[in-house]
Amino acid sequence: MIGKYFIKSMLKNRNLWGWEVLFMLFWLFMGAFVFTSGFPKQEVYYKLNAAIWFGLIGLISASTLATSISQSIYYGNSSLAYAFRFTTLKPSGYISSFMLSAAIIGGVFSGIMLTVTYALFSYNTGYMLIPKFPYVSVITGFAAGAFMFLLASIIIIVFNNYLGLRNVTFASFIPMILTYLFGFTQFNTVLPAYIIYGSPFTDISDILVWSYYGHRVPLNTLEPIGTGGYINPEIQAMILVIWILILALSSFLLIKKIKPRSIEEGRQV
Amino acid sequence: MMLEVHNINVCYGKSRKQVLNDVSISVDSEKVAIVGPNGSGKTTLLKAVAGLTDINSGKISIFGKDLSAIRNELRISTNLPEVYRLMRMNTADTVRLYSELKGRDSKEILDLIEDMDLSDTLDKMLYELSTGQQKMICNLLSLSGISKLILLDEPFESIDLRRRMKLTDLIINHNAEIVMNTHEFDILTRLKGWGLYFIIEGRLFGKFEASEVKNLYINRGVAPNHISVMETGFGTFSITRNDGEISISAARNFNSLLNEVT
Repeated sequence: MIGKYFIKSMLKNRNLWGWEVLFMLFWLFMGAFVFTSGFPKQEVYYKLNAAIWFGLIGLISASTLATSISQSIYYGNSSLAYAFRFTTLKPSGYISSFMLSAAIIGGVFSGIMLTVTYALFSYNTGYMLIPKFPYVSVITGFAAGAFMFLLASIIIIVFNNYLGLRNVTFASFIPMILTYLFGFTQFNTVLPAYIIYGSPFTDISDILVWSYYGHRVPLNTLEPIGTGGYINPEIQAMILVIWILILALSSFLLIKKIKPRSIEEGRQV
Repeated sequence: MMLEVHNINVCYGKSRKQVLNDVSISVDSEKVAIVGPNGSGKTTLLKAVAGLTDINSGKISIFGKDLSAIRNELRISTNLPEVYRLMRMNTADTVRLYSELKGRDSKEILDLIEDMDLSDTLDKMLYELSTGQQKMICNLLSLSGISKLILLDEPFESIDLRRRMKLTDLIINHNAEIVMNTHEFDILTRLKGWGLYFIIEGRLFGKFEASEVKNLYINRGVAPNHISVMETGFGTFSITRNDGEISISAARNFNSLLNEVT
């Protein structure tokens, strides 16, 4: 019931479109036309490059959604406390509706990124760099939206209830900071396998890369293809689902206790 | 008992400023007005009842149930604006969402909005409305439907005269029990049968009859024929009936009354 209002509210949010779509499209453009020099001129490398850009941008785009969601929960803290007491809204209904809405938005935006990645990188390279498993890309975008919503809601409720709202802006950026940290380090340094598998951020980006590329992602992306081990996307998908389940349970337990706080407390200046 | 507030204390901020001081009030099958100057704790009292502020001690029960245990109770509504910020929406969606959440027909509120000539607010975000328009929408959201207890915080603030008259009729003729905060006196004489409390520095004094406000007087110190004594940080005052130092109804609002008396 409440989900349609979430989706409408998010789709009508210009900031969300600006940061989550337009800004990401700008980086895809840069990836396709500016940062492509130095690659071996073979289709397989072009496709891996397009897939890595798609994986990273898909992950960052979802984290932008998390920032918007954090702000929404923070501004609505009193409304939520009131609604759980004096309306039909239940914590489980709120979490599941908002999670589903964020997942749908994540899936839609992932579809947009996929299409644009294909168009830009194919145009620039002259090869038809068709994504191998587009439905997996959309499903992963769906999961990324759900994961980012849950992470954002937990962080913001912990700050709202226990740590104070002075640092609420910082709190709303934590998912994005973690995204940049894990997303960029994997493709620029060599991360241990347990981090690559255990981190939901690398799980999301790697599955997105795999869904586009069609082959397993190398554990070490700095080495030439075929010289090292590969990441198993099935295991990553399983770990991501476990993360979502754990966060959903924690989020449900926390939101029941949300405290009404004055939003003025979060004023930065 | 519809609402029972028992010795509640509320302190704010690092200085632990006491905003409500041992406040007790019972409301059952009646409407009450709470009158006090700005900063006296009126809004904090309503927020405490709506579960929007933590109480440091005391107890609040609604329909016989402890406030902390209440879930999905639809018989209470309020015009406190922070209640209607669940997400970024325009007025029409806010009306529809809260109607659904309260199990009401949104048409009733939409009709009231039209009747108040506020239809042009429907496609605007709540934050885009003027203070008076926002207040009016929150008033109408709280006054419609099946509520049995309505908490109204300064419902006439920033409302123009024409809408103020209509709103007064709506409040007076409503079937629900109402707890209404105001710092204005002109409305009180119209509230026949309503209880009246004064709140100063977080302490509640009463109960009086709202319609007899024209017969009430405030006096410096304790007058011999007093019906209530108010101990405040700026002196002791007493309320008398029919005769006294300063007529309460002659003052425009509580702030001007306190200026006169202190």
